[in-house]
Amino acid sequence: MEIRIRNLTKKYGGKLALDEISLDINGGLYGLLGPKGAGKTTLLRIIATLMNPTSGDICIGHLDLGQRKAIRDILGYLPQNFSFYPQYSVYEVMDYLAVLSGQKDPVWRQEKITQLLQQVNLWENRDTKTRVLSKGMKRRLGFAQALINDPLILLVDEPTAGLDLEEQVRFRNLLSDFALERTVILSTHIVADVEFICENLAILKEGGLIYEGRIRDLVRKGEGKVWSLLAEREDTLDIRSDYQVISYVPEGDMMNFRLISNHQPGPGAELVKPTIEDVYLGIMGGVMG
Amino acid sequence: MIWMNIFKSEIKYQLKSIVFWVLAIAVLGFVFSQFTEEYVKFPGDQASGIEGQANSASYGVTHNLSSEEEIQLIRRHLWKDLFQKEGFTRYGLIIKDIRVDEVQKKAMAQLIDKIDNHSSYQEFVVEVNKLDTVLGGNTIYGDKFRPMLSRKLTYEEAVENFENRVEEGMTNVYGRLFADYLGLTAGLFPVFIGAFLLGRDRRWRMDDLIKIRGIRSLVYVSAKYLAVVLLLVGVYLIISLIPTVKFYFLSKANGWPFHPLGFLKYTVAWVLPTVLFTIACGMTIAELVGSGLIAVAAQIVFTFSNSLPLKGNYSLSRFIIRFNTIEGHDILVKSHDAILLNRLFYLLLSGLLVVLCAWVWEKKEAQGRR
Repeated sequence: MEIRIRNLTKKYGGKLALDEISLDINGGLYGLLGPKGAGKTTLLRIIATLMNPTSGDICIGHLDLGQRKAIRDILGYLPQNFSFYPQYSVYEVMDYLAVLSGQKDPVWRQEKITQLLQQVNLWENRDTKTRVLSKGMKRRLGFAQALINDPLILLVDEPTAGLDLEEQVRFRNLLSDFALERTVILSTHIVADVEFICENLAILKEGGLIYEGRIRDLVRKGEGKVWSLLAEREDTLDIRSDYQVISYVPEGDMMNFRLISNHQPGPGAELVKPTIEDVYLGIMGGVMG
Repeated sequence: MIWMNIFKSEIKYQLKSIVFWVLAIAVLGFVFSQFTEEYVKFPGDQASGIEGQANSASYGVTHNLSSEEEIQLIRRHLWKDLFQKEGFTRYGLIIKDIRVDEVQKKAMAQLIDKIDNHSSYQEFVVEVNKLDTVLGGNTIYGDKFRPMLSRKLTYEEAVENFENRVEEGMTNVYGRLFADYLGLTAGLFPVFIGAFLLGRDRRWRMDDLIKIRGIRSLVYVSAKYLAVVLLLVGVYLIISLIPTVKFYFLSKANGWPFHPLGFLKYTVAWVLPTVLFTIACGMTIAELVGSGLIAVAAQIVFTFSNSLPLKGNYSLSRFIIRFNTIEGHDILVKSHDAILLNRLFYLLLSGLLVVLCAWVWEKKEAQGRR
C-alpha cells in the first residue's frame, strides 16, 4: 500500500520536530534512519494517527489522516516504549488486544493467536507471565500483537534497540518475512537494521529530511571518499580533528584509520569500498552531501 | 461482543490483582471488627444484671431522646464542661479536648441560665447552636453532633425494643446495622481500584497499544467500570452471607421469624449506589487530574465529611447513608422516601460520571495527538 507524505511539519510549542517532510513509500520494507531526536518516532506516531501534524498531509492508500478509524483498522504498530500488564500471560495479552481490535470470534482469535505466537517463536511461552519475559521476547510479543488485525501497514519503532545480536537477526528476519506482501516502516538509529533488509530509506536529522532513496544509491555517494590510512599512533589526535574518522585500530606500532575525505588524506592512504554506515556517518558529520 | 469481552478480561485481571484481594480482606476485617450482635438476645439473657433489676444491669443505650431528656443531658454536659473539665470536646477527623477561654466560659454559664428558664424546645435549639458557634463548631452542642447524646435504656424499654426487633425481623434490623458498616467501607475502599483503573494503561505503557485499536471510549471505560463494580458488590454480597447464616441459626434456636434476604437486600440497596459512586468518582477525578493519588486523597476527604451523623441525614449531599443503630424503625419509615431518592440520585450520578470519564478519556487521547 502506498503512503504519500507531503510537507509534513510538527512543532512542540516552539520546537520543530519535523520540518516539511515529503516522502513516497511504495510497499516493502522502508527504513527511517536517524539519530535519537531526529523526529522518527514523531513521524511514525503521526502516520499511526496517535498524533496530529502541525501542517502537511499524509495519504495512506485513499485514506487521509482524518479517517482515523479506517487507518487504524489497517495499521499495526509496535511502539518504541511499551510493555504489558505484568500479571497477564503471553496468550492473555494477545487475546485482550485482539478483543480491543474488534475480533469478536473466539475461535478465530484462538487460531490467529496460535499462528502468530508460533511465528514469533513464543508458543511454548504462551502461559508465561509477561513480567518475566526477556527484552527480546517482549519485542517479539510486541511484534505479534501488532499483526493481530492482519494489518496492511506495519510501523515498527526501534525494534532492535537493546537486543542482543541473535535477537536482532531474528527480529530482522521476522520483518523481512512480513514485508514480502505488505508495507513495513522501520524506524531505527541502528544502521545494520536497514542495511540488510530495506531497499529504500529516508535519513532524518533534527526534523529535516537529508536523504531519501535506495540504499544502493546511498552507498554510491561514498564511493571515492572512504579511505584506509596507516599512520603513526601519535598522529591520532591530528587525524581525528582533520577528518571524519569512522574507526581506528592499532596495527603493531601504527594505527589503521578508516576515514572519510574528499581527497587522499595522506601518503599510502587507500580507497576502500564504502558501507552504508560510512555514508550515514559522513552525512551526519556533514562531510558528505 | 467486544464490551462483554473487555468486561470479562477486567474481571480476570482484578481476580489476579493483589490490590483486589487486600481490599476484600480489609472490608471483611473492618466490618467484623465493628459489627456485633450485641443485644440480639432477650434483655435478661445477656445483660450483666438480674432480670428486672434495671439499676444493676446494662441494657444498652438509646439515642432516641425526648426534648426534655435532650435538654437535661445538654445541661449536664454544660455543667461538666464548665466546672469539671473547663473545656469541651471538638469532634471531627481528630477528636480534641480544648480548654475554654473567658468569653466561652461566660457563654456556657449564660446558656445554663437560659436552659433553666427556656420557654420552648425551639428556643433551646437556637441557644445551643449559638454556643456551638462561640466554641468554634463541631461540639456536642451543635445540630451535627447533638444526635450523639444518649441515655441508658431501662429494662422495660429494652424488652420493648427487643420485641419490636423480633416483630420487624432480626435480620432486617441487624441487616441495616451491617449495611451501615459496609457502607462506610464502600465509600472509601473501592477508590483504591477505581482511581487506578484507567491510569494503569499508562503505568504499564500499554496506552499506545490500546489506543491504536480505535476502541470507543464509552465501551472501554464502562466495561472496565462495571466489571469492578460487579466484583466488589460480589465481595459485599458474599460477606453478607456470613451474618445471614449466623442469624439463620440464631432465629432457629430462638423461634424468631427468619428473613433470608434481610442482610442481602440492605447490602444491595444501601451499599451498591455507594460502590458505584466511589468507583466512578475515583476513576473520573483520576482521569481529570491525571493522578490516582489525588483521587484517593479527595475520596478520603469525601468519606470523612460523609461519615457523621450516625443516622438521620439522607440529603442528596450524602453518598454514604448511615443508620448506625438497631433502634429507630420509626426514623427509617419517616426517611424512606429520602433514602430512596438519595440512592437513586447516586445511581444516576454514577452513570453520568462514567459518561464524563469516557469523554475525558477520549479528549485526552485527542490531546495526546496535539
